[in-house]
Amino acid sequence: MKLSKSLYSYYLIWPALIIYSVFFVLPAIIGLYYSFTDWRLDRDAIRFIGWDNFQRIFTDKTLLLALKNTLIFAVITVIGKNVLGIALAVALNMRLKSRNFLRAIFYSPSILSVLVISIVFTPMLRTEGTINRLFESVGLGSLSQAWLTDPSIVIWTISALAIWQHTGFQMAIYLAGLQSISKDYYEAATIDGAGSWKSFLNITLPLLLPAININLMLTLIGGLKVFSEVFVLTGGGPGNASQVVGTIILRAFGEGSWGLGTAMNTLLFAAVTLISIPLLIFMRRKEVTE
Amino acid sequence: MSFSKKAALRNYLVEAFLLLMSLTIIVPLLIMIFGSFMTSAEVLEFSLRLPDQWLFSNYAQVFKEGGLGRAFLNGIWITGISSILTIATSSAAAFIIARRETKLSGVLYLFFFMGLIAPMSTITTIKVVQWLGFYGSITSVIFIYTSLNIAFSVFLYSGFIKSIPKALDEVAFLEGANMFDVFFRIVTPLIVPVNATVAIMVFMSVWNDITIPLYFLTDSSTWTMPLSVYNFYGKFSRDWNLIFADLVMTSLPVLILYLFAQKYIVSGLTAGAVKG
Amino acid sequence: MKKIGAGVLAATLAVSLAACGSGNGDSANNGGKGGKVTIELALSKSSQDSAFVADDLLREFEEKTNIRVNLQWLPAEQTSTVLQTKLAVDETPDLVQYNLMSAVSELNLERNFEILDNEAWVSRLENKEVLSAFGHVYSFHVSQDTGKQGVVYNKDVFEELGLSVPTTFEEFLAVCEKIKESGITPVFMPFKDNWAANVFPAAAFADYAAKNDPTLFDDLNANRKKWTDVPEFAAILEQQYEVYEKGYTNADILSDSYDMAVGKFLNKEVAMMFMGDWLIDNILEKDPSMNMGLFAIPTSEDAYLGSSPLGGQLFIPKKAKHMEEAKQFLDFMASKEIAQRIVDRQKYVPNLSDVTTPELPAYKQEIVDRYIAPQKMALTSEARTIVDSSELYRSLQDQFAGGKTAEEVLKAWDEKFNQLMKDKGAEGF
Repeated sequence: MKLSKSLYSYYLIWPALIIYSVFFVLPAIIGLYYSFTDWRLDRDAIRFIGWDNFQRIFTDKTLLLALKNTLIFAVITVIGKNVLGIALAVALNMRLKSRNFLRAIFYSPSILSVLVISIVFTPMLRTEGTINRLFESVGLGSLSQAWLTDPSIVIWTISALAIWQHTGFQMAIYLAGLQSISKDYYEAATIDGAGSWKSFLNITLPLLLPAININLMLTLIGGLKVFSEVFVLTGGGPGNASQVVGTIILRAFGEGSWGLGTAMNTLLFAAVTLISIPLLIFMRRKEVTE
Repeated sequence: MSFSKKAALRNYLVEAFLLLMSLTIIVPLLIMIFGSFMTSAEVLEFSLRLPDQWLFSNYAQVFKEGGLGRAFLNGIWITGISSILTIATSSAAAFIIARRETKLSGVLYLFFFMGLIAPMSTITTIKVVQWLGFYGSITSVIFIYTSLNIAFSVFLYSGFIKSIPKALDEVAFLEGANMFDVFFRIVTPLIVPVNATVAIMVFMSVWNDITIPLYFLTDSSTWTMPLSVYNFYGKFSRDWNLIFADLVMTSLPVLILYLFAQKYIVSGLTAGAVKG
Repeated sequence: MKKIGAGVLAATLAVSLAACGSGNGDSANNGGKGGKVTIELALSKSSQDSAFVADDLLREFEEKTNIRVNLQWLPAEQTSTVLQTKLAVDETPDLVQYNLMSAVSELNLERNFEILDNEAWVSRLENKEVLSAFGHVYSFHVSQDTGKQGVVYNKDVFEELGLSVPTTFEEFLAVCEKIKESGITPVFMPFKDNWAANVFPAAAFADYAAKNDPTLFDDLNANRKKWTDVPEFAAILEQQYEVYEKGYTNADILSDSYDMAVGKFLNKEVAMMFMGDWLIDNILEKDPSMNMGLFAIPTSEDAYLGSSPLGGQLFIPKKAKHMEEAKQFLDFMASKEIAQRIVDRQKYVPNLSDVTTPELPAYKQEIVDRYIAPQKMALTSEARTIVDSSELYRSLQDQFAGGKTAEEVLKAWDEKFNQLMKDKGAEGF
């Protein structure tokens, strides 16, 4: 018997819709309008200036650097969090004695505020800090770096820290996915003589696709929108070496160029959408055919 | 070597390796915890050692000077109400979207999904809140947090609800129930795990957030715990031992919540995110 | 059924309204009960020792006028951003403690802040300049101590090593060498806080301009000259870099931050720093037995001491909700009795005619004798810049990270300066 659709009235959607639209969507749309103006901190009059803001964005060297850094951060964290996440999930799905303890430990950094992480790690990342001293004490002194002050590696350090903090979250989702895979598949594979690596490739990975899908989306979007990790650790420095789009937007606001800042925000939104929606569709399709 | 022995050995190796890896997490956290009991000079070494003396007085000092009692209550209030509001509105909305399979609900789903992608625009949000006339109030902050979390929550809920067989609804309707009955009496009890997950997710992100109270709560007596760190973060003086004590105290509530709710996180995510 | 529907919506609303009730503690603000009014004073957490927010003064004020002052502490790193936001959306506090120079370049002084020319205490001001901009008095302070910037140094170290204050750059480097040999770090450079990298340039640029090209900054601000047109600027930047290159500084300059400075001086780890006299105050606060002094950065012979406009002034935003009460606060602070108390406590040179100067600490008297009296002060380049200098600071960091030469720093700054001035609508750009 087909249920009459009207039994599910739209009333229940209203509260969520209203709050979401007023406090999130509306500001975004207004922001879209301001992107095309010369809204500034120190002027009351606002003029419509068309694409000028966007033109300025694409000719700004520092912004191009920020874009590059954002991409580096996004790619590294997507790869790091997901590869490590799956590895950890598989390892912690095995029958280990300290399994629960380990799961809790690996998940714990992600519940802390990024402020906590940065405050604790910044002193440890100094040239004579704990990390370098550790390397020296085991004879790996040559690996010592100026982790947060060398312009060529600072964004990598920040990415590594982000992976350290949040991989646990991906791991939790992958664990959830793993636990929903029926053991029958593995038994069948073992009977057929498949080794563990083969069953991983042919059973685990494909059946983990929904979890991979979600995690890819979350890490990619989060990576492109990165702000607080960079802001709290280096403020975009030294100089402008670790600027990302999120922090460059803040810089524009700080300079009073609010129309420009909003334009950058709009651009970020467009970029994230353009990258993630096709990915979403692609992955959905892959899921269905499995 | 027999198969099971091989497997056992492999397990041991993996476990040992993981325990070693976990040190990368445990050590920094221990440095922070031990440091919170040290004197200002001791803590500057940032190495892993036990404090010479366990200065519990650090905690008392931080609690008093940071106004942590007040901040704690503020945090609980803001986070609690935001969580409840998010759960209530999102589960309701997801219920309809998941059950009512029309083009419109597909569009609505995508509409909410955009919330996961779009970055927040602080300045224009301030303008909107101001226009509505309650800028600076705790209420505005609660609504903002809710609006920010609705997207992810709707996403989780609709995934989960889809896995609840429609047959249950059908039976209820046949017995003369209406939509609300079905939602409250049948679906709601079944989505308790996801409620827990959403509650925890919202709690953790709202509790730890520092940007929104900064811009939207003008009265510093309404601030939350993480911001108390700034009380010791003046540009010209940083007492690391006190800062660590502050960080530990700020992290405790979330940590305790997490320990209790651990199992729900995984199961809720399974149901909502993975199967959806 | 509809009833339940309404019930759900009502429940949602009820929850929100309950939250509403607790949120609007601001209703207490509006003094409706004909009693206490509460005014908001916003200031940076780094100003926590400010004279104006001393507990006893606030209490006395409240007893006298029945006006309560609520302090809005802003995190030091975010102060300007948060203030800018609040001013832009017209949700302003009643009083703001900030410094005039930054208020002009960052907070759009003319648009946002009240002109105070007609307040009673203005007639008693000895030095209106330090509180004025664009021809009007905008802020209040009981002191006229401008910030003085140069080389903060530990006199005891100099004495022990038999060193005298250098008057040329070669002498300065020689002094550094001697100090380094004795095992102390000659100069502390905390360039993680990038603004600290501009103290040396700002003072030295000013010294150059004062002696060689008095209209230089006017020309720069009118686009008649560019920052890259002055070769001496590049030379000065190279001089600061030389100090680092020769190993006369702490090793990790890009990781070390300003808040470590006091400690380093107290532990006798460092002997000098390119900074302002407020650092000396902070050091003496922790250890009054320290023997500190300030001399001008010797980039040229007989250099001038850099001065920057006053800091820690009180401003009233135009859109303050309790304008009258805010003005009363200023009146209270300006009263002879209270002002004298503050001046005595902080050892300020007072700005009000009927307040007497207390006995100044040795280092301050020395500065008065050596630089202020003989008019050997020059307003720093930063004080003369009406746009935000953050990009200059960042470029300086780049220089010390090895990414830019002195010329490139000036070129990058010139470009940014141009852009910001143009955005501001300054004439000539």
